[in-house]
Amino acid sequence: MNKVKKLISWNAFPALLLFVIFLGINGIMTGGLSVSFFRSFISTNAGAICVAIGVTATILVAGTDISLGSIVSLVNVVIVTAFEKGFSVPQAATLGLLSALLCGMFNGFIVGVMRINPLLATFATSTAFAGIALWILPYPGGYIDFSFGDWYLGNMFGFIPTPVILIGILVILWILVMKLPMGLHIYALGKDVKKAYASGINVAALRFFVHTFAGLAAGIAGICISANICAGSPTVGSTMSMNSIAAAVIGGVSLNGGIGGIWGGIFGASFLSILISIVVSANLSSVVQSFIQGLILLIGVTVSIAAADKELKTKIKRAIGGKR
Amino acid sequence: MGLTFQKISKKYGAVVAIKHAEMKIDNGEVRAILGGNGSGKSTLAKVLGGLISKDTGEIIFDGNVIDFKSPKDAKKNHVIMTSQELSLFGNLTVEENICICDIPVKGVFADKKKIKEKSLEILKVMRLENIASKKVEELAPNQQYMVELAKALVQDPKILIIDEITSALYREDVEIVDDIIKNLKKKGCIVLFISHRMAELYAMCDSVTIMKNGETLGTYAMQEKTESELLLLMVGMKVDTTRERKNHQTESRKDIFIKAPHIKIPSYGTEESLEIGRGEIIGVAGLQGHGQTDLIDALYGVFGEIKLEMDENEISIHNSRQAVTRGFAFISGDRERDGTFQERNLAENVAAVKELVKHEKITDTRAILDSFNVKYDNPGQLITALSGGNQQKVVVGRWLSTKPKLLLANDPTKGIDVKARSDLHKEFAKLAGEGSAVIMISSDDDELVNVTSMVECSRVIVMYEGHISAILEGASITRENISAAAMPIEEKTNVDVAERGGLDE
Repeated sequence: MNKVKKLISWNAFPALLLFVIFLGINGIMTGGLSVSFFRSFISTNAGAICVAIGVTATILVAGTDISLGSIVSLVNVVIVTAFEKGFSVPQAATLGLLSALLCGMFNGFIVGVMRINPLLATFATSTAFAGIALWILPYPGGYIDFSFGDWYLGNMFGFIPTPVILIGILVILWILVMKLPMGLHIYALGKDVKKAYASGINVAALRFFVHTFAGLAAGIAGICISANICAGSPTVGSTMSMNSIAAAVIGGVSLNGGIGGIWGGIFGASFLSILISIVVSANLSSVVQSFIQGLILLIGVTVSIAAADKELKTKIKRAIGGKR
Repeated sequence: MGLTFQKISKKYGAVVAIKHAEMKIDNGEVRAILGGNGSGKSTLAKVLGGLISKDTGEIIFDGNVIDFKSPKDAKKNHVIMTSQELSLFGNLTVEENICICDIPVKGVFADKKKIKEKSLEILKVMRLENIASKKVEELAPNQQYMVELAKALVQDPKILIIDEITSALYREDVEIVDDIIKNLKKKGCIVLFISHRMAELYAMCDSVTIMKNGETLGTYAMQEKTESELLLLMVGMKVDTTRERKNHQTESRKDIFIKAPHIKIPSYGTEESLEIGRGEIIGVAGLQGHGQTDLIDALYGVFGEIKLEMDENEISIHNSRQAVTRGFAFISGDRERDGTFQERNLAENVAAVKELVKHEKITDTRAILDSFNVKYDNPGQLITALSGGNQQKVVVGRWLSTKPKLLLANDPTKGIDVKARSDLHKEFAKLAGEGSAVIMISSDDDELVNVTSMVECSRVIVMYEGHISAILEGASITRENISAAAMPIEEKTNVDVAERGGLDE
């Protein structure tokens, strides 16, 4: 009983619930859930989940990062171009990952050390990163050896799908960070910068770290997407930034910082992904598609925020329960 | 050895916060710093704590010049500061908060068991073991202050700065703080104690430094000066202190205009009733968290519908907006949360209720600010530019300009200086004199005794476990009677209190 209560009051619970419900709807529509469905679902959407993990880290310290989508695009074009220039697939992927890390560190430097507002800073760097991506590969095209795709769609250690391992790397890394003293400091910083500073917490270093982590997450997302499509497109990640923030909010991560966790980002992103696949498979016209997507997104965000609002909860309780 | 301040000064832009501060404190000395709001004492504390940098001067501790670049730097040298604004994080638990400045580790990871042990050890001293795993945002303000102090103690201070911490504590907490400070003294720790409560300063401090307008005026042994001498030095003029008071009027017929037969106290699940007369000041006393805040919140419609009889009409109030339109006003001691609009200027802060809720025009903001003796440059400046006491006067100005019929005040003089405090008391008495009523909670019993003596018609109700345990009137309003009624089990019998009767049935 207690465990059930704990689960229900968990920040990420509404997102998990939404995900499960829509998974069921999708199952009904496509006639049953199969292992192959999960495999294709996870390999298509691992990128979105990784970006959501990254952006959640920045939101937890009361910041944000809207440049992650551009970093994903950049990683994609770096991998394609490097492969075409004669690097091997692992080398190209490493180069992509490194460029994402550099972008993240740059964001971290601007936000943490220069103390520029994270929204403005990453808006600016987002445009810059997107520009670099276009400069490297002006048109969609290029090609990566299919061994990359095979590796990505295959298993590691025998039975675990590669995308799950890639997401797992981020999750384990984050869990380890949470176990460090730094974990508490991140939540403290998210609650109040001034108090965090007065408590002797190194604010600049923490901000630098979360943006670097977000860069890493975007890098892994870039690898996932590149391997999934095995081609290059300089705008492949352009819609991911905002979607990932919405995912985090649906997952119960407070935009004011200090509340929530990466599971919120993961479930939020999973829900959004399944939602998109349902709307796409319903064979609606593209105009109606985006309208419905937007509408459900709005409902999702509203519901999850309402679920987290204690005062609102008591008000609703009072309204339903009558006089108390 | 000890701690020496030499020729410290600090300017914020054109505003001089500290003009010239100079003092010397010995090891193991507890030094009070006394001054009006805006006299520079908090700034001086922040300079020492590494929160802000000084412009000129030197601080010497045990023979070494110290100049901390950040609070982290100060903490490394065991200079710990507890601040007026609190440094706790509401989203973390009490034990996490206590250890956040120096989280114990096992290898590289945070050691949860150690965190628990370390914080329990200190919480035991404060008799607060039961709150260790609660989140700080769930605690009452005075408990938060205790946790703030615990957070400082855990860092093994050599210099401890206590800035206003006791202004929200209740009597039993103050005793614990007193014990803790005596202990620190024994270890040779220097304690800088900033408080407005004279009784505490006399009880805990060895010596006192007076600050006024950014200058240190002088240092005296605590016993050398009387309270009124200190106040005279501090404000440069005579103030009615809590000790000098008029006699209470004995029993006068009340002109009841509000009847509240069912006031819910959700913390205890109890109900109380209250009849409020015109021109009356009702003080609400009691130990911390015995339902005083609930009583006021309930009247203001915070807990949903409350039925009242007002001027012989049945009315019901569902929320604070309706309360305001009925002529209620609400002043809280928690300015940051319930009082000021921080990012707004003085004019907007004054106008908030009258223009936005009651849709009446305010013609002259300056006149309102001046009539409450607010110290300000112009109505366009941000409210955060003022000192705490002046901010509170702006909030009071906001409400009193609406000519309320009932003023609800929850510890309204928390953390403001003696002068501002007595100014507020006068305003409350004036309001009562005009035929309105004031209900005021205070954690300071002396304050209640004082403020209720200023009007003809007054009562002090004492709350215990969600019930009104005593109603004191006239000459029975004394500090002793309030204390006794606040802990009715122990001393109930030998005190002459007007026991409340007939209401429980």
